[in-house]
Amino acid sequence: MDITLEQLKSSFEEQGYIVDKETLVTAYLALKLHKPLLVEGPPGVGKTELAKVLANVFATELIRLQCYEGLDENKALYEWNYQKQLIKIQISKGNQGGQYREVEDSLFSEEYLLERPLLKAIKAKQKPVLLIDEIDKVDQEFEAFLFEVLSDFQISIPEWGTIAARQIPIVVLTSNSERELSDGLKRRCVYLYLDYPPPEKELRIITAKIPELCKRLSHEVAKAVGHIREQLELRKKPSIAETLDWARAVVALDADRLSPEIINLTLSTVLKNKDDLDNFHRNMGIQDLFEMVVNDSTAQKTGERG
Amino acid sequence: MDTENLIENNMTRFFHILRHLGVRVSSAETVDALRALLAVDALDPRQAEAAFLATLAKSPDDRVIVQKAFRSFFVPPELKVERSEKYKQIREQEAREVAVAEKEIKYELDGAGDEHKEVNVPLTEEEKKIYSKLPEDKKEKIQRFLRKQFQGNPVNNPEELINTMIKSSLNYWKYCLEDEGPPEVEYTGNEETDEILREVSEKLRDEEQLLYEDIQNIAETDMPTASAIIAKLSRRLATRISRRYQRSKKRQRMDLRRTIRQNIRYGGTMFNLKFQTKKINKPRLLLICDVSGSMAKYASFMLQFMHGLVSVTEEIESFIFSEKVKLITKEFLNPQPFEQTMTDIINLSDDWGKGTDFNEALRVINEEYKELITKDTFVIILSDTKTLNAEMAATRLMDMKKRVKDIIWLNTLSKKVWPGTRSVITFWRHCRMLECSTLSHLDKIMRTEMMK
Repeated sequence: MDITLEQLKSSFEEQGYIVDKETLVTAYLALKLHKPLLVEGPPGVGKTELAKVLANVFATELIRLQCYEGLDENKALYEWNYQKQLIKIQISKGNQGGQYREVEDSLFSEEYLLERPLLKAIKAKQKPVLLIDEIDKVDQEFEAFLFEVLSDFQISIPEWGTIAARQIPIVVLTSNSERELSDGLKRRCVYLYLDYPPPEKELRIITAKIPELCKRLSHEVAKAVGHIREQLELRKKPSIAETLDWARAVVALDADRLSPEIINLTLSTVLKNKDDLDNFHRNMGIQDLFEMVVNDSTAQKTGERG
Repeated sequence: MDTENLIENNMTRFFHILRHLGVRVSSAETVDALRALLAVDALDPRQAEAAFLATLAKSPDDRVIVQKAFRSFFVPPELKVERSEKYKQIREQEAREVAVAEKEIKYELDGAGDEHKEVNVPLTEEEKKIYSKLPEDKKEKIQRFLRKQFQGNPVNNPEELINTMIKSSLNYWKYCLEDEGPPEVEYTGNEETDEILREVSEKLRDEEQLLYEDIQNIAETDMPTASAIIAKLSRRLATRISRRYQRSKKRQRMDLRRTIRQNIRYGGTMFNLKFQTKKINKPRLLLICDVSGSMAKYASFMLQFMHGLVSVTEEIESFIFSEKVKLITKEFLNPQPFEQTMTDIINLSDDWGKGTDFNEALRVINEEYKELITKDTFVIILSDTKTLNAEMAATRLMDMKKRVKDIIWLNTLSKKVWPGTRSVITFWRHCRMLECSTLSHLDKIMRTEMMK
């Protein structure tokens, strides 16, 4: 991909995707070295979003392979449309004049092939972005198969022969680290670990995504989420999307800043299971969170004046 | 000076350091790293660091090491000099201590007539260093031993006897003094490289102390963090259990009965094929946890760990034992915080913190809970092996091994003392015994040994 680091940076900014230098350089290297980008990190830190943004940056198609337990080659690569083939055979049976060879050939033509994401990416005319989402959910056999596809970018369909990719796709693999991926797969990839953003970065994300939000509220929400993530051992820490939802929820209640009442009314947008809510009330509490946010704001104002 | 060669040499040394720190760097990755470095502004440290992180680190743990190694390796010359000076002083200090040790570990032997000869105990450099690290009272004890022994008490070949005793004593202290920490770094012999290795490993040790601390020594103030780590490890294994499939050689087996029934409407043409779904095979876990005096704290962590698994599989049976054995599965199934569960368990057990009789525990489990011992059962034992009737317990364990899928013994004793501990030798033939005295051990076991 012919793009400079600066161009990539400004393209990300145009898309409202706020990145730190490491993320920027890593994404740039994946493009430059023509290697898949393996993004690991907890849920909701923008791993999938990175692939979407890359597709937008290069104005190309995003082809997504959502991984799940039991995903196999048929679902990922291609399948013959069995039912359609069967109908064709049944019709041909009635048509006595039909030639056997012609029928057989046509049964394995493109018309009867159901393209799945990997084949679609290989056959794409314009270099697509192939997102292989949550790779850690597949079993090891499928991972090995994927490893082969990503090495050569060619596949073999017995009835057709080998099909090589017209363009090597931009590949983004994401993982929540639920299972360790094989060394071989990792070696093939450029590696990026995305963690929850620090409050300063989250503030920039909020400002980029919800520009209508007043600065003070953005700041308070970013700080509050930062405290929740940092100080509580939660089953599920709030994701960036949940931070944005919280900010929107506060605005929807016509509030222009956080208060204990507003936190109480909107907390369920960031903490979404009972254990975490109980944990919050037991170990932090609404009043404490509010005071921490207020103290941060006061300290910042003093700092700004000083 | 040839700048190009300097860069190449520097890069090679950097990769060499990473390998010594335990990061697996293949030749292909070194090529990738160099290509990455050429693709960015190599003079911008942040870009260069990101390039190395992207190509050389393949896990969050690797990232920490690569980042620390980068920041230690690529430093301005004045900082290098400062570091060299610091480690030079440390080496000199160590040399002085070794010299003092040489002077102190001497004794006098009666020679011919009234003559006394001074004898040095022939210690290795490592043994001298161990001696120099001992507290003063322990040093004094060794010196007293040397002064007193054999005076006026002639023994054949006393030198050999004294050497053996001193070496054994120092060997004992080696295990007592040894810091728990990340795996020892293998030094290269090159002074400058070793300084970097030492700096990075010291930083890693400082930051991740809790992971490497013996669970028994974790301070009360660190308990919430340790509990959080345990909860995370537990969740990780839970995820693996929750999607554990029975492996089938056939990728997809057709369900003939359903297929025929479904296709009768098409006059028998097999239009809609139905396949058998894969069967989820969640393992049955049987935890046998030693809660005797020496094991109480380890047991509390292990029980918390198992508590975390109950959310994904109810096929966990937990026993605690010391002098007697008790089934505590029911307590775990109550949806209440772990702390409350632990209080209930401690209240339930009269002998929490008492002596250990593993033989009795196995007898009761084998005889009264036969139904739990099946070919699908994964047995996890947490104990330091110190028990009454070890031989008989070993026979029972051998018998149990034939009837279950696997037995994993998490031993809280340091692996270094296993060969000299009789009870360990008695049991390790009949199970997979793994060292488990720190959170780091538990993490490693969960990642590499469980549910293989």
